[in-house]
Amino acid sequence: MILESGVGTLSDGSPAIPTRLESIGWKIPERILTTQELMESTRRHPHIELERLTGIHQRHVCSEGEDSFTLAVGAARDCLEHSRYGPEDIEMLINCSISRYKDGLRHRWEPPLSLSIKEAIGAHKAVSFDISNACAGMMTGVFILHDFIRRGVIRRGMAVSGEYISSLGQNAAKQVRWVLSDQLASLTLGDAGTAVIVERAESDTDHIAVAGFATLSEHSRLCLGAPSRVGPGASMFTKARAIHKVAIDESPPLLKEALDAAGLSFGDIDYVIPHQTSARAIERGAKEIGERLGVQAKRVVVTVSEFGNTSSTTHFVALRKYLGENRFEKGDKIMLISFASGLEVGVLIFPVEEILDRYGDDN
Amino acid sequence: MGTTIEAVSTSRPRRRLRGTGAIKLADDAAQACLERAGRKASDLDFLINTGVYRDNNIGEPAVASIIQEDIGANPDPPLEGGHGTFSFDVNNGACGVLTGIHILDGFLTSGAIDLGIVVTADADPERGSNWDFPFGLVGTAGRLSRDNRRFPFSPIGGAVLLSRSKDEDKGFSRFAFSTFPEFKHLFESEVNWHDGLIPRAVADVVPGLEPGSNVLHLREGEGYAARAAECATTSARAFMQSAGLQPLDIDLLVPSPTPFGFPDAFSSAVGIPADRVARVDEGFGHVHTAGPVAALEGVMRTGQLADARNVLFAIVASGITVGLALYHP
Repeated sequence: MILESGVGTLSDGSPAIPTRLESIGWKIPERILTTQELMESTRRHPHIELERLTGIHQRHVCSEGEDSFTLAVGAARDCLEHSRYGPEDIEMLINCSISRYKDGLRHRWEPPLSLSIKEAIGAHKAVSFDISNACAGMMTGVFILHDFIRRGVIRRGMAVSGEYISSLGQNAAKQVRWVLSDQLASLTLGDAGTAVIVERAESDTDHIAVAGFATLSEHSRLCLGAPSRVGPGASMFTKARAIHKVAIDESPPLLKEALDAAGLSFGDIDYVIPHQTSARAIERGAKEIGERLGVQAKRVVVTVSEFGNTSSTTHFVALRKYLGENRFEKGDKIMLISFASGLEVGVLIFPVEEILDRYGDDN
Repeated sequence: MGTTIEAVSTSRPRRRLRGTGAIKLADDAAQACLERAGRKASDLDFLINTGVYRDNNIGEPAVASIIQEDIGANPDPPLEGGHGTFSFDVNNGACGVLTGIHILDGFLTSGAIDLGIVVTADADPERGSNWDFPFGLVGTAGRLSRDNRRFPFSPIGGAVLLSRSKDEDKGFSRFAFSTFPEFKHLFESEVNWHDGLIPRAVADVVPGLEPGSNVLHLREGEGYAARAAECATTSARAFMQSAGLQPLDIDLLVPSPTPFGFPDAFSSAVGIPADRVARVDEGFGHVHTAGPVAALEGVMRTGQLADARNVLFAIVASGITVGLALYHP
């Protein structure tokens, strides 16, 4: 795994600057689509108990006037509202979404969407670009910001993503015939925007412990997302069971490597936040990984019941929800685990301390 | 220690009659680059793909992961003691390669990696559908709009291999990126749905198919080259001043070959002599994100790069985005 610790030295022997997550924001569309409603909209009415299989009761979906861009901008503004910084203080802005819809279902290739996002929020001084790393996009953005900050090149930056992916569900609903359909996973998707500001840490304890990634690319063709041939937006084809099996079989040594670099065991982690696909897959996967690592996680966060799979934003939707609901205690250790098409395995381990002071008003 | 360029390579379609997709072009460029440097794909720690126009406009997975698998860069889980390869895509238009280099320079400087590659390619998205995915054909997902029946960019791939030099004075010393969103309308591309491009009779044959199609549109507005040169000139003057350099201190300029006319307009506005400009062979045609790689390959072949002390990269892209870098071979 390509790892960068929170502390340590750079290649020239100088000390690395520790970094931390300063604030997190989200934008969740108001409109709710229940799994029952979605399944009733399927053209072939397959007998699939999707809610029982996935634990997904509902997902939020965009209405007229909402898209990847508006979700990203809304999340960035929420992030800034909970931050000590203004938009002019952001030195780098990375858009990390797979979907880049602006003005409806118009997928923007050029100029990059990050340019419009930084213009909309007023982050005029920020260097900006887009990255794409499937559902690992936001965590990849944090990994890049962590690297730039720890070398002292920038002091703070924002990773942001707006995922307008409910069109994949609508397109899948036209074609899904049975439970083993390659498009079944598209029915689990929901829309959401998230943003995070990463900054220089000023504390000996309140900083990212480790960030790391590896791409197990022999499995790169297990998922395919592209503009749809059956309707506006995109379609996605997934070998979901194969991806789950590979992730659970092959990730434990990588997760252990990251935990070792942080000087922690899996049992030391207070909240494990994996990529949110289905409740059953998360619970079964966490148990199997715990068995492989010799200790079970204290708590595994599952938010799919309310939001579905929101792609690159899932970890930060969960974080923002838990911050708003005062679920964390000061000093809790959080481990984000990404399993994404590619196959990407990513890890981010950090404590929550000062960030808790600026949240908790969401009841 | 600085981040240095070990090798660069470009690629073109192998067969004229059947189009080659961007992924194959990127595979070829990466493999040729590694071969040129005498490196193995398994030596790669990092792979960044910066191409924009790819087979069927796919958005997932990252094209970089497909390239990583195709070239055999640690596709399986790393063994104990090894750390495998990490790959993802960067999209910053024609500035993508320089942004990729900027990111790789960071991970090399931090000591997290020893070797990385930036790969890029653009091709007509209708090409290259033979890509071994275990799913049905994506169909018309890569269609071009009626206005863009001829994809405007040449199918070219490029790769830049980067590592750390032990010599403190060599390598990239500074980067700067600036944007001019007031000109963002001068180059735009998007994929969107058009109703009615498929007859109802055909649509009814395929379950769920609607009479329409997702198509790619590209628009270049009038005056793009001139505005790009103006923006780059403003940024480059400030950049050189902050580096304590005069225009004549630049021994070699590696500019974007496109938009057409940009290299000459920019070099003359900044005051860098025309014989110090790295030019792209005309045979490349209208090259997009691989443009800087094609320019580099030329000056590496002639020895101009090795002879230079100060090399200025000046890349312009949609946005308008200007990317600048100072390199010491």
